[in-house]
Amino acid sequence: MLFPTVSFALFFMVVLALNWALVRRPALWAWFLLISSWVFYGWWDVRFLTLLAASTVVNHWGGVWLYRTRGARARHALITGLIVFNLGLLGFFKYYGFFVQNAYLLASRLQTPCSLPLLDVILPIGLSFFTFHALSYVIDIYRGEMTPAKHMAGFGAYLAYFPHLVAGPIVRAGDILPQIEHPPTRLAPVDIGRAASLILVGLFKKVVIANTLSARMADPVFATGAMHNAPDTMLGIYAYAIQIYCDFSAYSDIAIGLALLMGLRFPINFDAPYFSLSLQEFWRRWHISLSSWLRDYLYVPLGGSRCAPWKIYRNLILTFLLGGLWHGAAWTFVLWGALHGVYLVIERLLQPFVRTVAKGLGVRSGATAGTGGQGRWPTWIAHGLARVWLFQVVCFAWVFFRAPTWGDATSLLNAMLRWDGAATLWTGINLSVLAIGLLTQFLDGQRIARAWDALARLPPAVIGLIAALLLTIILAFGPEGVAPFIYFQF
Amino acid sequence: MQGALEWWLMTHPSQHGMQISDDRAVALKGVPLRSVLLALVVFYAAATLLNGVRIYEETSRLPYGAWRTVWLTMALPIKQLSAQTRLDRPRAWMERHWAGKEPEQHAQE
Repeated sequence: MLFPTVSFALFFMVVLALNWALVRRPALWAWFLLISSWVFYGWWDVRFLTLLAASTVVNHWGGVWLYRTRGARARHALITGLIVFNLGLLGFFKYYGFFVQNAYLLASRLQTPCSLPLLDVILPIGLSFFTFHALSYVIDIYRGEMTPAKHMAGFGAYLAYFPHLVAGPIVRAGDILPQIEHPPTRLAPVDIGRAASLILVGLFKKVVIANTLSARMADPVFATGAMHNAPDTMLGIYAYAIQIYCDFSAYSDIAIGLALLMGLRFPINFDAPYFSLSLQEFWRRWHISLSSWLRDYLYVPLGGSRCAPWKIYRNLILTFLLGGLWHGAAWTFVLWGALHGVYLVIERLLQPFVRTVAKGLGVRSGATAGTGGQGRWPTWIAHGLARVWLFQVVCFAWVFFRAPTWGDATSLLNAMLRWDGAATLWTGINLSVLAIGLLTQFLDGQRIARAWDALARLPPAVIGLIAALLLTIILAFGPEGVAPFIYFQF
Repeated sequence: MQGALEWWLMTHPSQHGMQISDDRAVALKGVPLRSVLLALVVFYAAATLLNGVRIYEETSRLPYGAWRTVWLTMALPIKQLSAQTRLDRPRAWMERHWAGKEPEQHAQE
């Protein structure tokens, strides 16, 4: 059940009505959230529900047991068991095929026999997301940062809550569980201006921008990379960079908006990432929930930035290698993660040099850049160049993320050296869609909060009419059919 | 352009570091539930009528079977109402003139 479909619209209409009807009974409401989320998930494949149910039961009781256990060794053994269980699920369903394929490849190189069974394992949708939700929950209990959920329904609803279930954001139990255990009252105001704006902006980014970029530029270039010349290949890669931003941030926006209408608040997941001045800043603005998860549960436990320089570099590369692998079972994802890790190491190494040069040229830091007076022009030029450079660097890494194989990625990069033939993709409409996609970043975060408030001040019927008209315009401009969100595959 | 971007980023902070638990002021914003439900009823009604013909067309693309029959039975009166009230025209016009889409066979029936 995809968000921009009639079936989801009907599902949400029923769920929203029941949500507010049952909100006065917290226990029943939690069960309702759980069951409606399971219906949403089971819509794809009922078999997937077994896995979600198993994860719910094991992590809920594991969390309770962990909380009640006092001995340090017993607690350590318990958290190890829970981590192994969760990573085992992810490892088997997501990485088994990849592991066996590579084991056979290695065995054939070494000319030794390999007898691992070849299984056709189906990857359940959203597995990576709900596994990370479960891991953060049990680890937070182990660290003493939170208490377990009062009821299994509450934890199950947190784990399976349908707006974030299949493609995030990866919300923390500490943020969401209290909201589920203490539901909003019917008297509490609902931020309809923000919810409607997020849903409509999300639909616009997905249906109009992401789908158009995919159909007109990114897919043709990545499907037949070797046939295009350098300008077209470059445009295809840029198109993919904007497409993945519009696609994934759209899902997050819609998820946040839907949750708001049901009385729950999620943190934001994207904040104008392509306007960043550095890679470090980019990762504070791109898929914020994943990067903060990796920071809190991987980078910091490895030692973070409070250790010897070589250890910091190791931690960065390791975190991003695993972050890359989280996205998919393929070497191209590992390489994408490794590239970002190496970028961050280089950025750290060059930081003192860049600071000295910037100071010499009179360039101000990001925090004071907007203030007027001396050094304004050098700052703007330097920041503009930094943004353009960052976009190129990120786009280079996207090639490995999007290309199905290493061979496809290299043939695409080889095409970047071909300057013969006419560029067919550089049309006015393609460039306009690309520019609009880039500009949608201005809508991220709280930047248009005044517009939300203005919308919320209108009479309710007018809000409904405006939303219906905007939806119709969005659907009219989008290409035929509904392409799934890119992050569904992860 | 670069100056405008800097100005926008400075004057419109994203507050992405803000925690949900600290978000009291924002949490109190909004309208009463009754108004939200009214807005949603109007939205669903208007969106259905404005897109009735397209909903029927999308439904007719489902694979043959009992499920498709049920959906088509539900979508047919919506399509008829949308066509009779001529509320399907704005979308058809936008698709033809702005989005460059060809009208489908169903829309002409």
